Amino acid sequence: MAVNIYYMTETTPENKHRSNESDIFSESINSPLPDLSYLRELADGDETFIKEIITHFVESSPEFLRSMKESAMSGDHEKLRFAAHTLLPQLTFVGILAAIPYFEKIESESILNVELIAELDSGIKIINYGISDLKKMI
Amino acid sequence: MKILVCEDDFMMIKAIEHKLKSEGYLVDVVTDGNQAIEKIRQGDYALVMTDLLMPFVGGLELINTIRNELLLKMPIIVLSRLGNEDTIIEAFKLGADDYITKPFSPNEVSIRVKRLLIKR
Repeated sequence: MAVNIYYMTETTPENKHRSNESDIFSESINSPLPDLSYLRELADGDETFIKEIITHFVESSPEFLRSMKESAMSGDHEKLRFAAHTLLPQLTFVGILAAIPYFEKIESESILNVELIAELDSGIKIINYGISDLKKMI
Repeated sequence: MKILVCEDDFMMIKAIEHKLKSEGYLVDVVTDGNQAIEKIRQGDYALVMTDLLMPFVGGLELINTIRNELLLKMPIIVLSRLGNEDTIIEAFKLGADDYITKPFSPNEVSIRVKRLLIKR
């Protein structure tokens, strides 16, 4: 499956360290730099395309994540699940791979109506670090 | 050859569009199933790629309409995330020809599209 291939082949040393942590959902501050290898392969040398994708993510994510937080706080689990479903491929595009396990958990477990605010906060924190780095790339 | 992409995520649209256009295909994009049905009624598409989770008319309903109402036989590729296996099986039962897991490998789209268009 393509997803697995990419998650594995794009693992940076930092990500690899992260994936070996005994508790992947423990607080993680030292988020690795975004890994743009997938996006670069897709772009096939088209720098305009890369910038367009990154710019869209940087501009749209804050509102999107705010909306996810609202859904989590209000207990709208279906909306939260759908948002996580939408966000996950985008994280691969912009290489914020360290946030993926958090949103995979949200996607798979929100249907169970369990409390996922801690996971969401951790995922958002990693994405915000990633956005700071992505801004420097455009 | 003209391909219709039915997907509501901006990045996914851009990625698929970029890849298919670089392969020389003409690409039309719609963001929900209703728009897709309108486009298909009007245009001659060699292939349709569709997401499953979309507003208004979802991917399954779209496939059903293409096969059972419009009676069209162009290949249909489903775009889906991992974990949607049951829905993918349902899509195949309704007449989908193949599926691509999101986020896709860059070459996967062109390989699968070519394979289905050669068969056609």
